[in-house]
Amino acid sequence: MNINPNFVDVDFTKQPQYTRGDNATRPFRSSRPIYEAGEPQTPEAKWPEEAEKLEAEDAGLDFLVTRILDQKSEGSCVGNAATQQHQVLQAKQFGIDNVVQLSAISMYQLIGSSANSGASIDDALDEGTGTGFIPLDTPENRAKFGSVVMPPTGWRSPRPSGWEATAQRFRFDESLVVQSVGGMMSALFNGHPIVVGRSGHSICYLRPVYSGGKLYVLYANSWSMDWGQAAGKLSGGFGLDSLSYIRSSANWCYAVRSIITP
Amino acid sequence: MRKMLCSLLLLLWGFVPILQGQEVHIPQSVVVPVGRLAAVEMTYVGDDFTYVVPPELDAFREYTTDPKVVKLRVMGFSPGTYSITAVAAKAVDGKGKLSPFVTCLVVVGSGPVPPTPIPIPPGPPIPPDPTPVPVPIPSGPRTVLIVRESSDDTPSMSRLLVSLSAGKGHDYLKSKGHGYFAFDTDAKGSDGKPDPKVMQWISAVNMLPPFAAILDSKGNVLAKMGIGNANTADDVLTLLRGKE
Repeated sequence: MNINPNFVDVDFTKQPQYTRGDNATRPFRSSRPIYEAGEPQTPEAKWPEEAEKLEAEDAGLDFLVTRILDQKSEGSCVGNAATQQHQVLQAKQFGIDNVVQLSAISMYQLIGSSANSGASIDDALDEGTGTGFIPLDTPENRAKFGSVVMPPTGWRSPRPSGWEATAQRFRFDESLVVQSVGGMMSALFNGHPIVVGRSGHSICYLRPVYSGGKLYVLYANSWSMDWGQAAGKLSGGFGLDSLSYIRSSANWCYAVRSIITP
Repeated sequence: MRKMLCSLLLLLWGFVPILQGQEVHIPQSVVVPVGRLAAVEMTYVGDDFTYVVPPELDAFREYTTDPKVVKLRVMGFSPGTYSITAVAAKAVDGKGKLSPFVTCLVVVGSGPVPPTPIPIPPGPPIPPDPTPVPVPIPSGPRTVLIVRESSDDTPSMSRLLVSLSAGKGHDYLKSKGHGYFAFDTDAKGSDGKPDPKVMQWISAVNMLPPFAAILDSKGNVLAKMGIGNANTADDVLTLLRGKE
């Protein structure tokens, strides 16, 4: 892929869109399964070859991204990254034409304490697994879910009556904590998107990429299509991390393998 | 003497139901090619029943209306002879009694060669049957169904799924009006319980996952294939094109 150097190893804190959102306050609960412990692992020697196949076959998880989210000025990046992750898995299961767009603020309201408090990604994993997401307010979703929809942003937006039952249909099912760069690469090659936190911001990791012999990971950000470079079927919204940032992200991330069937 | 014989008969008569109180009926052996499904039907008499399938065989249980009839479908991926062992138990006078352990040998692939059929001497030529008329498959939109266990996902499976759901495979499906969906074998519904559709599809396709199946608009299975690491989305599309 053509890599735009302006969106490689971005120091989020120096971007005008930045609002601190990943609090990274505590480790994941110990009871969660670990990706490196039981899932098929891809040896490092095979990473370039596997990345080349993804590139050649247009088969990276970036092709499953149907919309770049926009958190605007709220510190809701964790809610946005988790929402993107769910939608990527929906696309893989039902096809990109059948994705139910979800409201990121419906998740952030569960895990934040104010519009700019930020949140922890382990809370997003817990609430994404236990409570779920509310559909986004779109004409298509109103036809399916009536008034049980929410806007993409707006900390003070009211939750619609009866939202609990609808949110139960949009939950994570099987998830794993990732603890290393090796586990992260294996998860992405196996098709399991990862939510990471780094530099006070949260993003959704999608695809290993090699360029000039160097390893990068392509991610979907939540700063609208106006930020970032093209990837998959979209003309903007993506960035890339190289190994030093990938290492940093590997300290604080989780992969989701499957979602509840709506 | 007659009294003694009567007593003995009464004693034996009393024993017979106990001896027959718990038992398992199972075929002594089944022979099946590598990668194909074999049926092993077990029936038991007793209050409880269990069986052990060796790890070399994949197996699932088919639904039966009689809970004491257990229909297993098993598949082996390497040639060899494997044992399925079963036992039943029944409470007799308040104590659990086990039946004898019984075993079915599953001969996969290059097992014992079945006896050669006795050659029949040639007789008068048999007139050929009328040319069979192929049953037309109604055209229309198809759906590609993939069932696989996500904990076994590999890079090749991921590429296959992404291609069919969003990549080049998806573009072809969309251009022809076809659909696509994929299931995890242990997918759950919003109530948190296993999604019953998964087992229904596995049963309808009659194949162990991972597999791809081509369905017509009524959900009939038109074609199917197992998915291995060498398979790509193109293989699934080739299967589909044969049924368009």
